[in-house]
Amino acid sequence: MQTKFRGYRRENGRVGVRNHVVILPVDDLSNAASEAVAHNVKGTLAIPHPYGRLQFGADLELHFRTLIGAGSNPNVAAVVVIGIEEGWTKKVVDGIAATGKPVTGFGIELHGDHDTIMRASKMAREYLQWSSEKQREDCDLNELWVSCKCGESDTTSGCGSNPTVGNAFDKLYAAGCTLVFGETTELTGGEQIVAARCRDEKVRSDFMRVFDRYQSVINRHKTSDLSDSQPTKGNIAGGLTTIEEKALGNIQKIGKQCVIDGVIDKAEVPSGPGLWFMDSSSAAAEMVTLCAASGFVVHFFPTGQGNVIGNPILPVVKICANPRTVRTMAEHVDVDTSGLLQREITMDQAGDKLLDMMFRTANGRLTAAEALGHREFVLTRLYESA
Amino acid sequence: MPTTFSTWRGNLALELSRRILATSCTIDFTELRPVSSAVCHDSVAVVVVEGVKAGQTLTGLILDEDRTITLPCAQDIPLGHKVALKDMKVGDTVIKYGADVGKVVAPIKAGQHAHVHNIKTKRW
Repeated sequence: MQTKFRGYRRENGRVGVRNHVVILPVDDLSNAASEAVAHNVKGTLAIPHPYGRLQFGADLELHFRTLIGAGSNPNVAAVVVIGIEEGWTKKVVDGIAATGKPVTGFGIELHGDHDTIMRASKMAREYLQWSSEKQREDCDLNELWVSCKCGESDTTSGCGSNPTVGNAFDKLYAAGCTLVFGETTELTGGEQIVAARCRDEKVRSDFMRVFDRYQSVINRHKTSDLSDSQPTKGNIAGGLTTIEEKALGNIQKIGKQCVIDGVIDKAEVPSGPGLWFMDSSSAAAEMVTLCAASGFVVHFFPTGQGNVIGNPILPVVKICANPRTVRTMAEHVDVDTSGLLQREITMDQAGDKLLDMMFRTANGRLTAAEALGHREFVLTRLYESA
Repeated sequence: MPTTFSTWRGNLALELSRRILATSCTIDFTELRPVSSAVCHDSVAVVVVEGVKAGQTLTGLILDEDRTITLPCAQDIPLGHKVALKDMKVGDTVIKYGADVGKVVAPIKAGQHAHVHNIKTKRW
């Protein structure tokens, strides 16, 4: 296996594989100005979202952690932050500034959209030209942070694309990479297997605590056995029958050898290398956005029926083993492992095929989702606004 | 066939391995060994080719053992959907990956389509 990739080393030492200048709205009201700035300064990237007003408590903390994490991601060179007022805007700016990367905030009140767009555009232009001179350099494999989450799964996910990720994760774990998986409720039926893979009792009890908490959320709010939601309609069309079956396929992503070294909260940054479990939603765009906010720079996304998701700052590599999907949705698939089910390739070969695409992606190849313009940036909410 | 997998669940070895696939509609292997329930716990298998029709004989692959089995197919089964490997009655536990994936809610015969019309979750 290769041991080097070509990445962008950031001010805090972390390594990214993209070089975005992001225009980041703090709240829904600032989307229009952010998109106007990205329109003025071609090559910058606005990442609009619908939240950021009247949130409070843990939900507000998660909002800030996600925005600050996304701006701090090493795939981002510099950030322009725009908010309706300066207080919360400054909080996001200060959080990102801790990485040492260039970041400036603009509040709209007392200025209006026109003046804000003008000032923010001037800053964005400076950042874009500055970032365009950044060069890729040789980086060690263990500096790569790789996340995974599957979507629109079917039974081919559990026996094809997910174990392909597992095979690659085993190899990346041995190489000292930082890895994450999540999807708390989608482990239902396989939670004891995950618990058994935890490094020690402390990690195991951390995992079971977040698993049980999420189960209690489901039990408190459910109006049925969730047979319309989990598995999804797409999962059922693809042949998955129960949450247990889906979960046992899902956890193939953590391979056979790697050990769960710790549990992190949503959008929390891991404190060291190894495999981490993030307590998270199983909804694709929410989970991938949280991975971006936690600092991951490449994402493995196995799919069966053909989820088309992408992310603005985290390249999403699609892996598919369903022979019909790779035929009918070819433009969405980066790694075709359908040969696994026909016994044309081994799991080890499939894992290597994914790792080859990972290196190419890290070195700059655009993923299918990037080429198609998929930029789903979806913030997780914990409860109602005040 | 075991109806619960408490020993398996406590097993840290993580043998997520007893997956069974129907991989082909033809028999092209000469050395077929009989399937032993002691080795093969799964009660359902996944159809991984398109266009499986009632009356066909399916060749299945036990992935981690690289061993094949055959099964007469009693119903049309879409790609990705499951075929029952044995007769199951209401209340039986369905085994896939060597683990409990739900309960039988309508009788299923070997070779029939096994899905949401005859299997439900035990959770939630």
